[in-house]
Amino acid sequence: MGTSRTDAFSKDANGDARPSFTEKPGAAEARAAARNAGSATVRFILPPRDGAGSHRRGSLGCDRIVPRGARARQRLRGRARRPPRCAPGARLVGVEAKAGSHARALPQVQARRATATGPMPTTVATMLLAAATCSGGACVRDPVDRFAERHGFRLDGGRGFVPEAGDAPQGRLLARRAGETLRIRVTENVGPEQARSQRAGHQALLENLVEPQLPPYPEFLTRQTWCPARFHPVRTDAPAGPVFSLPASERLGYGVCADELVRYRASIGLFYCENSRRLARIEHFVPAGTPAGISAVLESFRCL
Amino acid sequence: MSVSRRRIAVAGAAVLTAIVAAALVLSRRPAPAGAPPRAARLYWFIPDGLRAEPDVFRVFDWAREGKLPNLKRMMDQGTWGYSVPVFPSHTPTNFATLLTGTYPAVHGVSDGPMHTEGAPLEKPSLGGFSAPAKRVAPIWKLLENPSRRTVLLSIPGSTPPELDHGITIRGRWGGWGADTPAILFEPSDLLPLRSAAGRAFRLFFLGEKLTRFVEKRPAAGWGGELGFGPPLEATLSAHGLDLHALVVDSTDDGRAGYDQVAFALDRSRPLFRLAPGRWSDWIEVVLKWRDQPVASHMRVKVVKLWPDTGNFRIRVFFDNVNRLLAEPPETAAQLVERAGPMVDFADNWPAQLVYEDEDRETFREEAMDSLAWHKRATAAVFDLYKPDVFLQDTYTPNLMLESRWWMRHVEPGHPGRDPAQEAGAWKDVLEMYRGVDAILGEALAHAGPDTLVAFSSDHGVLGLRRQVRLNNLFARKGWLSSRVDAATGQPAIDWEKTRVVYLKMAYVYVNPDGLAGAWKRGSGPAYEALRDEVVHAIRELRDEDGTAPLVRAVRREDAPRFLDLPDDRVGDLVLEAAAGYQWWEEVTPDLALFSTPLVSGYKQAVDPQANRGMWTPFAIAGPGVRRGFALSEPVSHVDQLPTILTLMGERVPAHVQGRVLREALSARGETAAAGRGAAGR
Repeated sequence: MGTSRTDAFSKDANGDARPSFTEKPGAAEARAAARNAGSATVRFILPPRDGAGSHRRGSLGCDRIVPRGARARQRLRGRARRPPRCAPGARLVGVEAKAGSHARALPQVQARRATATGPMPTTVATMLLAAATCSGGACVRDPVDRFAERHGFRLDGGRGFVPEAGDAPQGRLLARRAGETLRIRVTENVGPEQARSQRAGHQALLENLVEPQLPPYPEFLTRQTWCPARFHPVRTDAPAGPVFSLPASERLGYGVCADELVRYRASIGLFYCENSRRLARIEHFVPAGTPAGISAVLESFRCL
Repeated sequence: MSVSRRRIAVAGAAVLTAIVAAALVLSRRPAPAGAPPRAARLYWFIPDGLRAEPDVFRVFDWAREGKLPNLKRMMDQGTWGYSVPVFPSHTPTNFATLLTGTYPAVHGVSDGPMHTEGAPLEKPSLGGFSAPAKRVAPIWKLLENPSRRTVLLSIPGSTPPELDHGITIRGRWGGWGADTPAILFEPSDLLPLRSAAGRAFRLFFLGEKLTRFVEKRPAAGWGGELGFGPPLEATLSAHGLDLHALVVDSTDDGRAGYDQVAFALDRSRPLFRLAPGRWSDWIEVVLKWRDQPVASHMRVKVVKLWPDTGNFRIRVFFDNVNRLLAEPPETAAQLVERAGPMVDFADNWPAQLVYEDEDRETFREEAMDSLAWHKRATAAVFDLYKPDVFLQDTYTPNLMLESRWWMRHVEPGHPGRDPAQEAGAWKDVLEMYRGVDAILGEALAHAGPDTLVAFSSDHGVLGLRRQVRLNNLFARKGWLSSRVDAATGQPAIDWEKTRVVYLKMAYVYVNPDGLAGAWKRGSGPAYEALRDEVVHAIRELRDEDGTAPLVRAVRREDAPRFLDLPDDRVGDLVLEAAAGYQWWEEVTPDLALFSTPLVSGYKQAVDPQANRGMWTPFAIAGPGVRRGFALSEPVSHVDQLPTILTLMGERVPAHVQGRVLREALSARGETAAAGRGAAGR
């Protein structure tokens, strides 16, 4: 399981982020080029800090942001067409985590890494850092980052997912990234006991889907459903709580017990942040056939 | 303030009031002719098993006669007619057809329980009520986007939930959720009586026990009044709850006469006391499902009490929705708070309220309560969630028309018909249709001028006369072997020695090499020869009056062509039954081929084209719909979805097989159709 630590970053005179850890040569230039091109994402390839196989991945963000309402007011008053997201004097901060347990990266992520770094050693996972680019206090940040921060958590593995267009209901996000789908639902104002109950109930619902049941229209011979073990949910433990992995249909539905219906492998976690009294259900869908293992997206969940 | 200023102020206020009033009035009126032709919202009400045809269930005539005022409103404001389901003419297949605009060969739902190669035949591996079973997207996925709020209430095939943003409340039989069906309790003294009464009773003996037999014993440890005779007690256990019942004689007349039952969760503190025929109020309870506590509600009825013995027939009805039957979970409590504990299901499936005369009234009460609940829920959903897409179903019409008590008396020519009961049966049936109409009325009252309102059903219901035990026929032929199961006392299939078997609803599986283990479809000359023999044997079948129950047998490979069925989700033979005949799996020691069931309605495996009793209503009103227009010919179920999508300005997917009902479109609707390129479909 990964561990997490927060590192501070400083800014140079030009407002560029200057990470406190060692960047791969050329990373600063790449970041600058991306900023000039208007891109919000820069990939960092970082060697292990201690050179002993402790691989890192991370993200950047402002440690203080201008509230959305204040930005809107600035826009209305005509003070700024695109008011900065970072509060004056905000620092860029980053989170890094050991990535050794994420060796089963998703194919498209691996491909992206390969593009950035060339062939990767199979025994050494490389770093992927989706960074915010801040200039003059204005940050263009990853939408999943923004959503997560707004709801009191971090989901660094969710970088690069693009939310579907439109105004999703409060606390919900559906985002896609090259064949993967990320679905998040956050429930507010949940007490610890209620959270425990909802997590247990959710687990029971998942497990019940594959249990032998009385089928629809039962009769003398048709009286018990069948679902082979390979379709059953598998539990693993992520830092934020248990994660269930199971097959899902083309429309991201569960309870699939026939090969012809399996399109995705889903990882589901219900994670509770006691400080903010929020319960987040994170579902990460990857194409069927992706090697089983804990989802890097879910494993990256941290309460703020 | 001077007089002139006051006049100006008064005049200004009057003008403002007039503007506000005009805005309110205009907001309730249909969109003016120049408004965009598209409907922005959809309410689609699909009550299950709502028969409608020109001969017996003349719903449009009833509407004109003032019996169904809201359907009449739909007729005046929109387009209406009949719609024809698809074979095998039951719920999962036809909901999938309505909701995808495709035939079963495309959407893949050929039945409720389905079998796939590689899985054992004795256990269905695909559930037709399960959302993922559909091979193409249903309307809620076609219309879903983050800005659109979708609510699915009691829709078969909607669970496990697959909406990304919307609300799914209680699907049906999708294998998802903490369902807590109503349970009947009787003392074990009545077990032999019930076993002798009908096979449908024994069915639940093999599955979930919807009627439970409990020990009746002398009462002890009770607080409060114990009456005058020797009190009796029993513990009624269901869904993790122990409800104690105390049977008492409340009259001091010197004679044994049990006439009341007290109920308690704790014997020292009885909750209430009921005379036969009375329902209790709802009380809050905590049930258990898979070790999870489930906050719920319960109410109780003493259906019947035998005064001399203290035997009882007690129905315990549990709230049909809870946090583990709704997505998001909190919507369950919101809905219950507004509409009360949910009564979604009258009786059970298989039917349990079919043995005592008192069951009829209990069924009727549950049915009407369910329709009243759905009416309240309609208002609650519109108010609470302001849905852009709202699909609603109630199962009550199907359950009522299939039950023992009504169809036999209203369908002409039914052998179980009693003319003396016809008027009473029609009164109840019309009351049920009025309950459905009231739900429609609630939706019409809440729907805005930009809402498309559609009203249809999945299938009608026919009178059921006889059940055909095909597996007994195969046993007689030596193709099927059975033995008595020591645990249940019932015959069970010996799969090792079985080469031919009938499995619900319309399918016969054949393999000369045997059907045990992982099922593999047969092939080759021996397979073809055996299949031909089976067809011949079924074709030769005759009932006592000479009626042939088989209309046609279609080979699996021909099923897509002749019946629009998927060839990989059906048996080796597909059997179409004659009206009034139902294929039945049961194997009995006497190997009898025909039997008369207690229930009097059904719908499975008959041809909806040939049997008008299978038809359903279709009415649609809203932006772009032609007003006051009667469709001259019945439409097909597959036509409803593309018509709805077109009226909403949505693209009709290429796989949709139905046509846009252009005759139902107004000039504005035509504009919308042309705008989406759907006119030519």
